[in-house]
Amino acid sequence: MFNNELKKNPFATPADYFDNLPTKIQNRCIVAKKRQKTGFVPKIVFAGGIAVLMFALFLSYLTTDKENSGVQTADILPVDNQEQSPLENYLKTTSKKIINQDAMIDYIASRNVNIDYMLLAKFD
Amino acid sequence: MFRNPAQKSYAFNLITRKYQERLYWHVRKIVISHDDSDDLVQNTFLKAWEGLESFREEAQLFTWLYRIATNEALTFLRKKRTKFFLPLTDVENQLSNTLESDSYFSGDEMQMKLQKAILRLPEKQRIVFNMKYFDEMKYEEISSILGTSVGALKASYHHAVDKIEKFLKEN
Repeated sequence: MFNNELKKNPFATPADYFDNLPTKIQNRCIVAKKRQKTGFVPKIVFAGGIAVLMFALFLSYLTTDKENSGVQTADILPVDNQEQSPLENYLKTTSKKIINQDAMIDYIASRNVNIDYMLLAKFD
Repeated sequence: MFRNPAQKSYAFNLITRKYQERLYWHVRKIVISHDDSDDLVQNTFLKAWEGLESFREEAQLFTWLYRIATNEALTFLRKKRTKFFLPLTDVENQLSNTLESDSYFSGDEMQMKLQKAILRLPEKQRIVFNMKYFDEMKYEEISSILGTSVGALKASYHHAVDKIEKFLKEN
């Protein structure tokens, strides 16, 4: 059943494939070589940076005065009520003002003000 | 020669030119597609380049390259299977479809049938059959590449032949 005809390679490749393959492989080897060279230095720099940062954090932890590091209640200054800002004063006084509508209407009526004219003037 | 940096590139170029075709056809029969084979052969030589200094000269260079190429091809198929959650038969079907649509297949109808029959074999039997039947390698050589005993290889090959004959008779 398995004659010599069947043994022939039934697959093919694009033209000049095997002529170009060594160049492709060499290019990939060059890229890999460069990556190996450049890839090693950044890794060392990165690892060194991490080590320095950890050491700095450790030093700062050691040198911190733990007893005085927290905020004490005595350190908080009492707020003086007299030292309020002008804005605070304004808000306090104006928020309490209540506009009395009845008094306003009485005032307008007593002065014979034309309400239609007022409305027209407002919307112009 | 491989440990001397000045000679390494020259030696590697010679190796590439000498073995590229045999390795390519070996990989091509496993993964079928030309593009995949092209990638895998390049990966094979790249791995060989990276490991050239540690290459033990008591092992044959060709055997070593063949082993890398076989592993690359099998890993590729396994990755394909796990990536798309495919069962074994679906990968075989995929390879069969690739074979049918392959513009770089120059065989006749009978050769197509034979390739389809080979694709239905389990991975190991397929590789053993290809190496024995097409590449006409000795069992000892295949044994050193695949790390399987000669007895087991003979059994694999005969099982493969039986299955292929059965498939060809039925189709």
